[in-house]
Amino acid sequence: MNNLHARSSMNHDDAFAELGALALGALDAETSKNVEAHANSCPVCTSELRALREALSELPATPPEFSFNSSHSSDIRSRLVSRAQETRTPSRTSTPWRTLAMAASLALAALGFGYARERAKRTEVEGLYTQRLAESQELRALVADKESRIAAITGPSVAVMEMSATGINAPTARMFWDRATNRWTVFAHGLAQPKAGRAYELWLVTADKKIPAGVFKPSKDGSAVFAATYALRPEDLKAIAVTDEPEAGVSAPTGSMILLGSAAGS
Amino acid sequence: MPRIGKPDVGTLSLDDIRLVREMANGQSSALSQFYDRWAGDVYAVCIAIVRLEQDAEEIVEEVFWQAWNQASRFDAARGQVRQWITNIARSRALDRLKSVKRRREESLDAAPLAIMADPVNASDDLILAERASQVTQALLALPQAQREVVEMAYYGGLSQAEIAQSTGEPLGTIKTRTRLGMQKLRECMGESKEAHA
Repeated sequence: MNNLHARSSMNHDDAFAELGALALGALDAETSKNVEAHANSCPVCTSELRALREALSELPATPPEFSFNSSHSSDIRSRLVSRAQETRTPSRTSTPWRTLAMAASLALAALGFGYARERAKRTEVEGLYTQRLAESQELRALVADKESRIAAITGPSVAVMEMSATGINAPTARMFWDRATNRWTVFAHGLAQPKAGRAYELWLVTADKKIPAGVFKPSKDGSAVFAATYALRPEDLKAIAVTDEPEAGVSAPTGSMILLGSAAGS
Repeated sequence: MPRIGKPDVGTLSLDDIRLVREMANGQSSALSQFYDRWAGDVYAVCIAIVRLEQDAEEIVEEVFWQAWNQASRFDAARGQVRQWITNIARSRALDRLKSVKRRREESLDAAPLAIMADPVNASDDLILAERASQVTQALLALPQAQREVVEMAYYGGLSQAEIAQSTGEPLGTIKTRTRLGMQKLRECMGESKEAHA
């Protein structure tokens, strides 16, 4: 064991005591790095850390003794939208801007039209630069996001599973499971909009349990892309399913089955 | 930290970025959609930290109002929407906790303190425990102090140092509660597997 731990600056007992906090993400950066360094070289800690994370993965999406009252939530949404509509005044027509514009005009007139033209040009160029910079940052983020999604569905370790339902206009979905990164990505189409306070919940089904993999809602056109990360041995997965559940998610399925796919041959 | 049960990095981020941009442009319908998408996660962060439903709901409203007003400042290149909105929630909830603590310290009335210290009574706990999975039951069965620390870290995203600061407890106490609480959840997981074997 000592040889295994030679590369880590933290001894086994100290690291072991911190594994719970590491699984919770509650350690400071340096301690987290040291505990992880030890755990990576210690089979006992690796196994314990996996078990702790597995235990946490069983917890519901909201602290179990509390739930977000759907009626209160709707009230909050309504109040927010009303306030937003009241305050939504185009900035160009707002009084402060008009005042500023008038003051600026007077100042510019005093300084001379030539100077004003140059200053206006400079302001315009600065504005364009800021706008382009923001667009560029946004595009970079979008590209990074797309690259991440492409990697999650095209790698050599990716298994593909079809999910389907019966009926006219039934939804369809395809699950991509990257076994190397434990990444699960679902692309679904034809989903009906869930009722108020409801959402769709994804389940990973093994021989002895149904693991909640997160809740999602479709876009207006009924499509959805949903991703989650969860470590599972390939032989353990028996099926994948989507059910209709409360939007906060549940720890065991209670609602109707929307989509189902078998893991056979994946 | 990978967490199943919640959308993580990259999930629906294209739609989210579009919604934030529409909010910045003053489209209130985007705020409504954005709320539907993230209210559950924001509530989980808030309730885990402040532990009082009414306070948590007020904070949820404040969080989305702040998001609406600051949408133009969101920089997609610097982080995901989830990180942005949960950071606002965490910060607002911690502010509220500080103010509640101040109120507690200023108050001489012991009864409200007892109510605030234990918002869930024993019979509620039993009903909840019957419905929940084994790990959830184990969490509900933890002594309240340990459960609060685990939930503040897991749902609230707080570090042990932040929990110590916000609760006024020594860091060593928080570490001990974390360790004991997680040990019990882990043991429950082991028992569950043995029962299924």
